[in-house]
Amino acid sequence: MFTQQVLSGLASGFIYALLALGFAAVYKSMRLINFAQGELFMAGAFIGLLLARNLKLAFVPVLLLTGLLLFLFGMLFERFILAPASSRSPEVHGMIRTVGLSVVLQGVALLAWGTDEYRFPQLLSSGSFSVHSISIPLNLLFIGGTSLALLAALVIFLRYTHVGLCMRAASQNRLGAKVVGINVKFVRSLAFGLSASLAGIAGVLIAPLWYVQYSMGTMMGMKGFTAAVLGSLGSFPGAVMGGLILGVVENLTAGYVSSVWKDAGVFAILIGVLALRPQGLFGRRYNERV
Amino acid sequence: MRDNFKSICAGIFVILLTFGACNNRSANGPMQIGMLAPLTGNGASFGQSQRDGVQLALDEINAKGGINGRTVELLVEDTKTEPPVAVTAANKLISQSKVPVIIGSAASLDVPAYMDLLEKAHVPQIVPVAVLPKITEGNAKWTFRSAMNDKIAASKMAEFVANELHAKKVVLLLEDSAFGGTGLAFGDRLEQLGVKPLTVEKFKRGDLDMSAQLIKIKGVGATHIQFWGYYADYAQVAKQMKDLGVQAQLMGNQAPVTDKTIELGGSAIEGAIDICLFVPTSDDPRVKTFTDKFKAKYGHLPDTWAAQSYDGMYILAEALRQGGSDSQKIRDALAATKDFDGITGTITFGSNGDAEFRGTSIVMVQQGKFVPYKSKSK
Repeated sequence: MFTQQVLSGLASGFIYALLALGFAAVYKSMRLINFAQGELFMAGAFIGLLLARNLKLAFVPVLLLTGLLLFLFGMLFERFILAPASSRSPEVHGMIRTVGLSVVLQGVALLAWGTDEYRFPQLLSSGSFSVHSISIPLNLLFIGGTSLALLAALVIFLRYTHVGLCMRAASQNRLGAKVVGINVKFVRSLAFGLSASLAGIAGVLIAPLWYVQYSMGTMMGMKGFTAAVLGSLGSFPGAVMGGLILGVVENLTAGYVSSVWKDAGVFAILIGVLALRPQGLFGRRYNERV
Repeated sequence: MRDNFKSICAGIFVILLTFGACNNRSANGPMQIGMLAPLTGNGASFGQSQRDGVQLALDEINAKGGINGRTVELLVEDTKTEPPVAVTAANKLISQSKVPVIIGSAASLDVPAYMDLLEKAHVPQIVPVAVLPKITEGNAKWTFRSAMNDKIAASKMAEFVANELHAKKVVLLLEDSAFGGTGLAFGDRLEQLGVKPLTVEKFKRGDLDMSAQLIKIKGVGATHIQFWGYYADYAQVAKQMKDLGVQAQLMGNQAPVTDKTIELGGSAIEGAIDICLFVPTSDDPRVKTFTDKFKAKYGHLPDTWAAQSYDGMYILAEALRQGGSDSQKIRDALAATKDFDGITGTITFGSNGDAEFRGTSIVMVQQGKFVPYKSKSK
């Protein structure tokens, strides 16, 4: 039962990890927290639903197209809504604008789809196979595989491509990056686009296992943020580990303590970690630059 | 100053018009009754069934010349499945529209929120769908429930599970709320019958990941899972049982008996067992007539909630026939309802306002429909 709980926790853990990665990307390059991450996740699920149900696309094209659409949306949002906030205390102004985005997204979903739950077409075969009396759900493999592939792509992008290196440079020293001729504005848009895209993909990945509803993103946004903070805000490996730990802890709390404490257990651990290691589990201890 | 005077005059004019509009009800005009229904929010599927069932009955009544020569007009207020909104809506029906009687909300948590208002205003209500036991536990004098009290459902379900299914390894999976808490009554009755539930697991409404609870349930070797909560979570449990390879028999309460469960659960919900008052696929000729009429009007089969609302409207019609538009007389007529012969059973109101128990149906999902349960051995 222990192994089963851990395995099952990993499935939701990967989803939290994708959301946490989005938080990390935006925090790293813009020093702000994207409060719309949960609602972008919900938007991804609904866009996926439209593509899969109305256009009858297969799962992989749905996944890619949703990622692309949200990427473009994120870029445009950053360019036209967030960037103009950058004059004085851009972080605070930017964060409030992301709060605004989350309210607008949820409102639009509520107007368009109401409070109903929608079934997402089962594009992947559900079911499970057993290894030593432990049943492994097929969709866990798919979610895990896709998340790892995305993570690998992200690492390669940041380490080995020109644009990726520009992004890292801009996140470490904005002024310096500007001096050496990096288009910092573009890099910021790119980071926000990436974060929106990750959230959307997470939404599509989980939708066939759940159902789609306008309010599905609120709790997920909180969980993703928790995972990001747990791992150390702004660190990519930290975000992934934070997400996985969160998923597993959740299942173990519900399995061995009580299902009533499922969410509480997670937040208790967050508070504990922050008290003992304010920089997060995987953060380096360094002082914030002034 | 002159402008102010003009606006004040205009304001008074508007107020007078409004009053005029309110007061032009004469004794020969249509008789107005109120209805609270959760038409939006997470109880929407119940509210819509409630509205459709009541409206069908009302159309029939009006087509036959109405009640005592007057047609009946229904004033519907949406509670949005939010108790505070239900209170405002009830207030509006009582003090603005001044309706003599109300058809109560289908959302269980709405009803206790506004019930006291009706007690104070001396306006009776009939509750055709909401099942929460609390509704009839507070000695309310103006509330009559034709729906099945969920505690009765819990105890009947337990008897079925112990005596018909002969289940020995049963677990409870309950929504962590007053609504899901009624499931404990199932556990108590089951224990009286000699089967102690192995464990009680809980979940929050709308929590989409139930894997932890289900793995635990699988771990204790349960053969039967009794669920108590809403349809969306029920469908979610069925889906995750399939994903995790949990082989147990899934059983539910009254709330999941709606087409939405089947839409969300897909093939995973096949074989699930529930309890309710009405099965649309029954062979009873009266049920057949009703379902045909319903289908002709709305294009789909009625669920148990629509049928109960249809019956509720007819019980109310009888009370209106006797009481006219006098709230006190309508209340007394409702209280005296005895052996009302509806499509969901024979209804007599007991002293607490609850319909006395009148037989239940155990239903099972087969090929995407709720059908009467038939034992496999027969």
